[in-house]
Amino acid sequence: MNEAHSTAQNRPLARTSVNVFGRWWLLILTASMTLFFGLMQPNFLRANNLLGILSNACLAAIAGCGLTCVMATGEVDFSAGSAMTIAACTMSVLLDSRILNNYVGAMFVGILAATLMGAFNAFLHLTVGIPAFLATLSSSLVVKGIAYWITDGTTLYRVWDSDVYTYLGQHYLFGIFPMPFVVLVCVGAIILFLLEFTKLGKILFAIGSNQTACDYMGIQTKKYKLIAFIMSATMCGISGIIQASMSNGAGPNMAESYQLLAVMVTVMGGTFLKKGIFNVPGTLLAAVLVTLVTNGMIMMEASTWLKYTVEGLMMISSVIIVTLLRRQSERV
Amino acid sequence: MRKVENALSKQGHDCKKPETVGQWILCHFLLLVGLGLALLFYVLNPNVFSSFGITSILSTASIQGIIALGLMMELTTGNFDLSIGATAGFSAAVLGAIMANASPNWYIPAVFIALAAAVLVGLLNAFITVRIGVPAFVGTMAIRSLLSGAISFLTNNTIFYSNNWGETYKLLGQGKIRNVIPYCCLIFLVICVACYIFLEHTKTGRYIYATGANRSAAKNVGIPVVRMQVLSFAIGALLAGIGGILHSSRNFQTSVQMGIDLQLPAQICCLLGATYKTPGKYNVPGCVVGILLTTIITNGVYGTIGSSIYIKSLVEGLVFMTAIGIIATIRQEGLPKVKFDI
Amino acid sequence: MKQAVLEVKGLTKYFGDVAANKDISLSLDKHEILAIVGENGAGKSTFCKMLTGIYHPDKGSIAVEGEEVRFQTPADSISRGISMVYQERNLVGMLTGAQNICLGHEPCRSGLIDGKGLNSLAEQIKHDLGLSVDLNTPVEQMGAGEQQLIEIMRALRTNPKILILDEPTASLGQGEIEPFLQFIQRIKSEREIAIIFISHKFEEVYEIADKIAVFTDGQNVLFAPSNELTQEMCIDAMLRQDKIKPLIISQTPTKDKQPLLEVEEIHYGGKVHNISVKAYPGEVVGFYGLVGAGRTECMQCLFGLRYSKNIHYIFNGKEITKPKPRQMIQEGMILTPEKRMEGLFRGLSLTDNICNLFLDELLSNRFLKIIDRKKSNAFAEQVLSDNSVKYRNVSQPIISLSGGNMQKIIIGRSVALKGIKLMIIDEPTTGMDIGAKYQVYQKLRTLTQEKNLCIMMVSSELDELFAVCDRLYVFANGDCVDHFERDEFDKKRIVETAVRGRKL
Repeated sequence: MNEAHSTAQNRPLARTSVNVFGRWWLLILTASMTLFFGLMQPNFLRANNLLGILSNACLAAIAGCGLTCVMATGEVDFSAGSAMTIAACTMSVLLDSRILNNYVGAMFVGILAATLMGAFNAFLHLTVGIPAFLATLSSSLVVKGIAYWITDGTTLYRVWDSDVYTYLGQHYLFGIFPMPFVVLVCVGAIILFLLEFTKLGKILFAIGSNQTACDYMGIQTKKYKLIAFIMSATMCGISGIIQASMSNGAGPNMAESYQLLAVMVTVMGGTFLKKGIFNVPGTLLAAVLVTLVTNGMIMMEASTWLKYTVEGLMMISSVIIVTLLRRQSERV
Repeated sequence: MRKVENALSKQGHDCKKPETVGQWILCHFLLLVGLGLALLFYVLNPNVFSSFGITSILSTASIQGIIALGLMMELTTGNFDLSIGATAGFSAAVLGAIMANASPNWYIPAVFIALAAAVLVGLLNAFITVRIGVPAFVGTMAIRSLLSGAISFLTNNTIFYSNNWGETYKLLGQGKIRNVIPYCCLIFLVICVACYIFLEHTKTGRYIYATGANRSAAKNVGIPVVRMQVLSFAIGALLAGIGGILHSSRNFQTSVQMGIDLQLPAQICCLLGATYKTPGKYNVPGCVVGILLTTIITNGVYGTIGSSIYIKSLVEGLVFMTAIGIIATIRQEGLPKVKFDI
Repeated sequence: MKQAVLEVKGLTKYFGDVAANKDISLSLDKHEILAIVGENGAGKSTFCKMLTGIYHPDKGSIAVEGEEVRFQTPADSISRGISMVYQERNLVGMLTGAQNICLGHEPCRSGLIDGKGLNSLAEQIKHDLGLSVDLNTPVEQMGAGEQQLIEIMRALRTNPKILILDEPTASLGQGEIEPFLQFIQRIKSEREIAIIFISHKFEEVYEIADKIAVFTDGQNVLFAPSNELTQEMCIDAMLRQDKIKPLIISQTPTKDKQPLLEVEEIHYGGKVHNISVKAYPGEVVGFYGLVGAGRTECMQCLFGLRYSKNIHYIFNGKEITKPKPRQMIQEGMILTPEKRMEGLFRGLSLTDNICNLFLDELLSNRFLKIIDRKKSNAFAEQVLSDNSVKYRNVSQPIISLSGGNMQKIIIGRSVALKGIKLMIIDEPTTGMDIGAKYQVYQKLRTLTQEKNLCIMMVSSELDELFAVCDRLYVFANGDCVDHFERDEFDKKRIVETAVRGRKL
């Protein structure tokens, strides 16, 4: 895109401001929004509200962690929502119809379903050659349809012993830590570890930086992209299970908003600290910010249009900032 | 080694003059599939088409087709617009909001304002994509949210309609010539012909195509590629606006959901259309055949198996996947810019 | 006095500190063909880009028909009457020949493109030029030669005063070249036009050129009517000053009886190319050639980056039939890319750029595949200092380095591979200053002597090859045409071989 000689690149003041503000805005915004909502609605800062926000944020955060792996390779994955849905619905259907009489077993099968979706995405992208964003867009439609089919279009409530089913979503470990958060910490730590400290992470970012250079180095780009897609879908599957657990039910349209949300938190995360490179801490922070803002707006009884607008503004700003940051770092 | 030996390597089908029956079938297979499926559905359930009303189906198809043509304009320059449905919804919402508070005499000016609003959205998308450099499919996704917000505001987040709209509002969407041919279809045909002539027979249309097909060649002959991209976004948004206005006229309502519902058929139609006749090249006849096929499939499936949401989603997804899969295997340059890297 | 159609005086262009063009002065009249010859990197394409408005000259002037011109954009130069046909095709694939010819200047009638008018206009041009190309098929279905003709017709459509052709015969088949040259001569005499013809093939140049300009190192060292110059004089002019003193190569390498690499022929791009190359451990083998010689393609095929049909060659005693980069690296072969940026990770640090090749060796924990950061940084520092790269710290982004330093990293990391036996480097010293170049040459010789490494070096600078190589292969038109031992090194002979495209 050579025409986009954004004049910001040539003006040092603009450059620095993008650099500084652009990389810290997430943190600044989170802090200021918390303050803002806290002032406007004191109930916002109550412990159980904040814990609730945390739990909800974990859904987007876990999915976002998975997506970070795919987006590190430079591809976009629009199948987060469907992966979450299929995992939750598969598990619930199996339990509801008593095909499986074991919660843990059903949970694994559910996550497996999401993983299979990830493998299918990889097939479409790597073997057939469909651009990733189109491949995931289309597969998410098909999987959504499958989810509708197996659940007959209804939400399945209370399919199993509530204590077991809602454990992951509603239980508090040691009385203080919400389970979703515990899962997030475990899972997030693993992904963070993989991306920042292992060979896998290095390779994924290398592919995203310059696939040709990877070829010259003999790096097996297809194999690693496959791993990335599978990881992404599996994470989304886990998130879906937790979501079902949180609402004690699973339905085919519960995770619809996550198609955009997961991508959004990952992109927003890319503006945090690193120069437009997607990363786990940023994704987590972004998930918190987004959930916080949504919750705050609900508390203030903000109209829906405001919610959409804020979501859109956050997304467009992050995307623009990531674009500008990357251009900058490539044009020292 | 990713670069092809000859920049214009012979990939894909030559569909200029199919010389054998086999080649003809390949070029037109989309149409044949459509006719075949129509036959199949008819055999399975002879009432499948008549029970829904042919004119009703055609009206809906026409509206979706207009929006698809808008998307096609943008795809021709290589930009995948995820906000085209929302643009349509936005335009409709603007009109609805104005007409709720104005006398029916204001209809025509209101339509102009609504269309202008749509074009503004197109220009905004153009700015983000061309000027700033955000990949189109990501930027338009963000704009889609903003548009949903705007629509939500204008419709009070409901399925909005107003008694003040009056008969003029319904006219375009529900009216028919001599009670037979819906205005929608007429408008669609006019737009089809106009788009076809524009793209195939005017200089600007040719330049828009060249910008998407081989940007450096276009630049070398002095074609203003930036202007062409901006123009494609503007025209695309305008068509989306027209489609949105017709849709809301037909259903006598505007809502956020409308924008969401209009996105997918447009995408499917354009991509399917690109497999017709000139594989990898988005074209108007392809869009027409694409929308026919989509309509036949959706209505046929509903008529035979039932119109559960899952069937809808499954079918749409599979059709979409097949279309892109075919283009990807035949001619990869036909697909829009893909990576989120700069 | 007859005014020259094109008059260039003192044209100079700098890129940073390097003068890509220095003090170019020449002139051209209508009904004349000026041939510009020179080695790769001599500044021919920079010169043309200034004529077509892509680059702006730093000094000097361009005058068209006596009037001084300053081009801001390519469109300016087109409107002023300068048209260029590039080496790479610039056509819109699915449009027909006629449509491509008229692209940008379609005849209109009441707002619409006049299809009939367009076709007849194209046919008219075709008729005027005496060609017989089909104008009604999409250009992507045509052969390279026909596509080129379409582009020339497009360039001529605007009735330019000056037509520039960049290596026009490079993509033509044997039987297409002669008719093409006659066609160019016909245009020259029948039209009010001046033609600039860039080529490295002397037979063609002498067949059609009225004037010849030889470009060497960014300057036009020779400019005279063709009948005043012999080929000898031209080739002499092409040879650069001996700026690079050859390294003292202490001993001729004792050739092991077994060659490390043995290739006979490679089939790619639809053609079989005769390569017949042997490489032995402990020597530097050079590969020289002009434009389109096919050296990079050959190397890519060997390494497995480019598809070649039924390739088979012997490397390190093993028969290789389906090379893949990963496999070849494990066998001990590595290739560095011709374009530097293709081998580097832009947004990443120095450490990453170096260590991504060694991830398996830099693990602190094999099972979990954790990268040992300390070890990586230390390794990177080692490589950087081994190759005298100037840097601040290993975490700085790679693009903050100069081109020369980046190249050193590419070479340095390749050489640090364990078990490396053969390194193929492609144009290793582009954009480096002389001091940096010497460091590279020293390093290469050290590697061969101390580590018994074999280095295959593709380069367009004969000086450089002379300085470093034990043996030299000359490529032309995709084949390997001749071989020179060090004691046979003769600049003139080698350039002439490359230029003629066959053994002398």
